Amino acid sequence: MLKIEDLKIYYESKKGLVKAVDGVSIEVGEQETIGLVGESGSGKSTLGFGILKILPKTAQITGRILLDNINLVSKTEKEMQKIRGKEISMIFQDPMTSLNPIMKVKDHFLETIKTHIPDIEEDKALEMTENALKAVGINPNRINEYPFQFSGGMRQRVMIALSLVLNPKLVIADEPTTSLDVIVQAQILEVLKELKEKFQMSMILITHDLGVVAETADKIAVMYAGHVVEFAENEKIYYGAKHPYTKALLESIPNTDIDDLTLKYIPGNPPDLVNPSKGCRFAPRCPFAKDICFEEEPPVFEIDGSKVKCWIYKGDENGDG
Amino acid sequence: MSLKQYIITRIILAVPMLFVILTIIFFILRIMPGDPVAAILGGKASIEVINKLRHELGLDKPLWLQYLDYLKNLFKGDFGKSTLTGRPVLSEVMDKFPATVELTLFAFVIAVTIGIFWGAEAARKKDKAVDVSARVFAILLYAIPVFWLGLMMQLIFGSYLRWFPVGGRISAFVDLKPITGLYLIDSLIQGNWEAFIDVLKHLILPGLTLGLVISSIFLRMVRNNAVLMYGQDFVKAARARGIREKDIKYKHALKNALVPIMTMMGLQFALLLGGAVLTETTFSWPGMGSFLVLRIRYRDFPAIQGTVVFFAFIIIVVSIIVDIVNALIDPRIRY
Repeated sequence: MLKIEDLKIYYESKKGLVKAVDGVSIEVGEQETIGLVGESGSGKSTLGFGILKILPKTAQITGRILLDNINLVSKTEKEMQKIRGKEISMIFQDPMTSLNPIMKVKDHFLETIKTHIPDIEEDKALEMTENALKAVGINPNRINEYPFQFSGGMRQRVMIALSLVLNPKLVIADEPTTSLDVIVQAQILEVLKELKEKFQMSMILITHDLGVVAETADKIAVMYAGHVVEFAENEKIYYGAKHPYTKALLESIPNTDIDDLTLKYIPGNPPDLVNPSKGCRFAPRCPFAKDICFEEEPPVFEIDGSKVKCWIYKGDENGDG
Repeated sequence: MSLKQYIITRIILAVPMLFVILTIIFFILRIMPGDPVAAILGGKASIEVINKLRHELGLDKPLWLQYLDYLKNLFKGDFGKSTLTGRPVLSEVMDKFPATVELTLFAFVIAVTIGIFWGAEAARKKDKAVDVSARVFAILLYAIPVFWLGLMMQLIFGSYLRWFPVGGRISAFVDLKPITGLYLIDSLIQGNWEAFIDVLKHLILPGLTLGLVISSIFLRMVRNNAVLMYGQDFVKAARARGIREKDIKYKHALKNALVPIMTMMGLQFALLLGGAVLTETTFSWPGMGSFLVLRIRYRDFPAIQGTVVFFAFIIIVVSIIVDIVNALIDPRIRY
């Protein structure tokens, strides 16, 4: 359904060209949920926004984003406006600031619906709004209220309803639970999971928290410094991570073992994305790094159905990877 | 709180505010140096004449009695009589007020149009030519004294090009019967096109001068606030829903940016209704500003007091209107 091929998103900055996303290829199947995991600055949000081409004006985007075999990279801004919200929609990180504070909840929906279906009747648009709100568990008689009259969790439900109202093929959720408290996080994830089934759509769930995608995602793509370093099915990540970075990331999840209270972390810092090293970008922090890792960028090897960008697996590959 | 309740509350709250202002005006004018009696009589009158006049003006009464009289008279709509002309102050003020209203409205339309449209576009295209030019324009006009700009306008468009007259509201040879006192409207009502064109020609230079100077403030505020709004998540979220740039600009960025600006615009409007002294003087515009300056020069205390009370009243009315408009734009205010 969505196929991203060798996508590169570079920004101009004062220090130089930031290679925020540097040659990413992933695929999202029909009704599939992909978890896009990485630390801050790994390029995961840039990738998410890049799919909709909502990028700063200085951004350069190359490669291919194929939505049902139509390349979005070559679309004009006007054409993209027709896709945003209708074919692909987005859920934002902070529901407190993502709704226009002086617009009624209803008007957010009506504006979106009427933008994409200009000759729709008012009644029909209202009905769609009410149905979308019902689907996320909000009483439709609140449509005349303003965002500030809703709690954080409820606002995120509104945002979700808003992203679903036109029944898009793909929803990109950018850290949808990060700014919510833990109980509400679980509720929102549950709502997302339920609606994905109900509306039969695909989803890209962007998060820095492996716990968030554990139960929701079918596949997980782990990003590091603008690269997808590992892309595999959910279980294969949690029970058989291949890439040293994925392993380190899993180890750094705090456990509840009373005898082991140390927090594990990955030593070192993420690399500079203006002048990344020519080799593997994780090499300086990698306990398994060999000489070649500093010299040459690793290709993607396919190991047991996992796609891994790491020199360790050279010679082990099977299939056509 | 419903909008209706909010409006009623604002009006009720204005009553004590008005009372406090009236009290302050009364006492400030009594503390001010200068004796009204001496100002009227010129300081060479005999003691009997002075005492007689003091009695007539009620100045021989105790202060608190004068204060009560003052409030009582104001309540009846009696602003006192001018010591310069002997006419009731209120009717003198009402003669001058329409001229000021006309100039203010004209200048405001120019200022708001420039401020909002250019400001919003500058914010959308931050750091592009339209934005840089807006910033230069705003700084330049903010720094230029209004009377200098007025003089230059007179020099260029009045003296050299002879497109517009350099002063007054209407040419002496044009016949116009005042109805509302707003000459543009009066001439329209009467279908008097000759007068309409003449009045418009008189209005353009002072209106443009004042409008341009005020627009610099609006432009900066609208641009800066809208830039902030363009950086907000809800603008990004609206883009992600495919909302058109035009709707994002006006419905999302500008409308949110206007909330703090409305208050400032309202105050500016009220201040201008008090008379743009420099502009009115430069263009011999017979409005409140030049009226007040003249009466201060002649120490016409009742006229000064009446005018200031009138301003206070206008400022209160305008601030109530601004509060209501703000509540209409931003529902958070009325809850």
